[in-house]
Amino acid sequence: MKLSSPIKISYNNLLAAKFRSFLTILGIIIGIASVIIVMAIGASAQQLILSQVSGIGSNLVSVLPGGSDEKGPPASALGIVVTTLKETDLEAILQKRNVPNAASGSAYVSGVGLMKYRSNSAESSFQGVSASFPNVESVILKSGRFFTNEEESGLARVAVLGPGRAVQLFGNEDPMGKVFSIKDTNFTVIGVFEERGSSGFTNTDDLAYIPLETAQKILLGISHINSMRIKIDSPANMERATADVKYVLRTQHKIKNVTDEDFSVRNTAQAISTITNITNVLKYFLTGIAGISLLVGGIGIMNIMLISVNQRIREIGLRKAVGARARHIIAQFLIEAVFLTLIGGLAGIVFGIALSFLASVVINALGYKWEFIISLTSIGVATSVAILIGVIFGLYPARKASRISPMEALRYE
Amino acid sequence: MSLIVVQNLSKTYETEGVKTPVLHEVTFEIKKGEFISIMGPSGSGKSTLMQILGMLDRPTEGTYLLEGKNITQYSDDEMAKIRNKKIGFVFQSFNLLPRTSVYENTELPLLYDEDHLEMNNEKKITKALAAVDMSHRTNYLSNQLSGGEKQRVAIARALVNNPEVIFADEPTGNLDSKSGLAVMRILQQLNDVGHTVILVTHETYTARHAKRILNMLDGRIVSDELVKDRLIADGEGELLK
Repeated sequence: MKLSSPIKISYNNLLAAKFRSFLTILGIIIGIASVIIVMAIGASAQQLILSQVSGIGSNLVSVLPGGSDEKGPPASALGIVVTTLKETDLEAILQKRNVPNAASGSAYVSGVGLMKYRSNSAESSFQGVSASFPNVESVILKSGRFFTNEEESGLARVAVLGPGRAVQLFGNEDPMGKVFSIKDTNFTVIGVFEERGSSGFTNTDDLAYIPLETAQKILLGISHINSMRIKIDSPANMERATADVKYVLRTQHKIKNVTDEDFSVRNTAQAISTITNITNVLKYFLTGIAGISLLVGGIGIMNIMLISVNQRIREIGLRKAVGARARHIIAQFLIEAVFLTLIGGLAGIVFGIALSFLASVVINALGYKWEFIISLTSIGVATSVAILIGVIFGLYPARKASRISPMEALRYE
Repeated sequence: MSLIVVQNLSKTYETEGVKTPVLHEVTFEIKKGEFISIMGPSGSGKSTLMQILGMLDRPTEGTYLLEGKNITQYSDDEMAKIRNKKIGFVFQSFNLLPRTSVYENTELPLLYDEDHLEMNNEKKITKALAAVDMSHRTNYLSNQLSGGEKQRVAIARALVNNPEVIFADEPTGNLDSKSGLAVMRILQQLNDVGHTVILVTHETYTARHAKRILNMLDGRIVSDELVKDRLIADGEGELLK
């Protein structure tokens, strides 16, 4: 049997009942479009989250106080105060003979306090960091400079502001050289950063950065640090450097067994792979939900094919009378079902891409860096799924048609 | 050798436990090249007999030899293959595919002839359409044709695979007398060139176009005789004008 013949018949039947065909195909269009949209938006959201993580800086090893296994968060991340990590630990790590691949590093403490400039005041976050902070994280100064080692050790009361904080405190005024207060201690603004966007749960653009020791001794009254980040010279050395950092900290803290570690070391590569895993699971979960609509569409196809078989009983009888075997009839109705779902699938792909593009335009307009991502895989998957649905939901009606007795079919009125 | 040999053929339909006997031990033979009418009132079993002879249905008992082969034990697909190659059907209600061209309707049996796919199909179709004088309507759609034209296309479809036997089940039943005559003329012409034609009808007038008449009543053959004053469709056609 020629293949062109059933395709032509399908096409004719489709045209004969345009509106009915459209309604039938609509289920598939919606299903395929939602799969495409979910996959596209999922990929873009993943990209956005990953870019924010790597936006902190690449090749970073982070140390948090408190032990943890690799998978769980350290105690400090859950809000428990652990005071075992000191600035001297960072100094030890940055010695060339200890961690040869450490290029730079910064310690961090953070706090919240009332910030005031003239009539503007707000409870907001500040971060005490080392003078080498700009070498560790990817930050760019819009104006002014960062504080020096001398200013840090001399407990200088200077601050570098995130652009959001600068606007909130000073409005349209140029903040450079101006004096504002944190917890009633005066600080002079010596620099303002370029916009970086939010990373994780904190918006770094809204922070005020002050020297580490100033924050520790004057504002917080503590001698420990909350965390540290060490910049490693190249991605290839991440594993080794991470091991070195752990070794140095164990030596510093006089710990013999790995299981007794009172700190947790993470690197950005790990963080990215963890986030990728989580977002992948979410992406597939959402795709699965979108897939349910395809199931509904498939049932619609089965329904319409059963109606079609009933309406064309005489045709089936005639085809059998002139020599069609069961498999010819099955092939004909299967091809018809696949023809329907394939058209629906292709329309769904076009529709899905259009909507994903629209979404990216809107989200970009809202100020996020949202990439428009349509993978060839998602188009391939959608097309195959459409064909598969045609086969699965077309099979039962097709088999039913093939079993009709030619004699009874020809007598059917 | 006889083309068709039927011995003690019986058929009983069974619906929801109720048995309805339709044919009772029918026995007869048909030779190659015959033109035979199976006649009888409705309910006489003539259509059931034709369906069994046309391999659209199986007998409950008895044997049916087509060209010496007992085909009662054949599978559905084997029967379909034989229908495709050896048998052509003409039905009362034409059974053309809707919204499909005359050419494609005629082509239908060739689509299922897997031994000769694409071999001279166009030539066969042209020849079959010429035999029923429908060459000028090749590209018309089936729904653009008159009843008589539809039946002629149906005959072309029955012819296209050059079958041994043509079964015509009340072929003039839905036609006016003039179109009916044209159809009978074609069937006689086909018989003249060697096709075996088996006609099922309840009209004596139509039946008398055949060479032999089997009369049926209540599932039995009550008479089997040659037609003495056979009607020739050509002559009558002239008279009607």
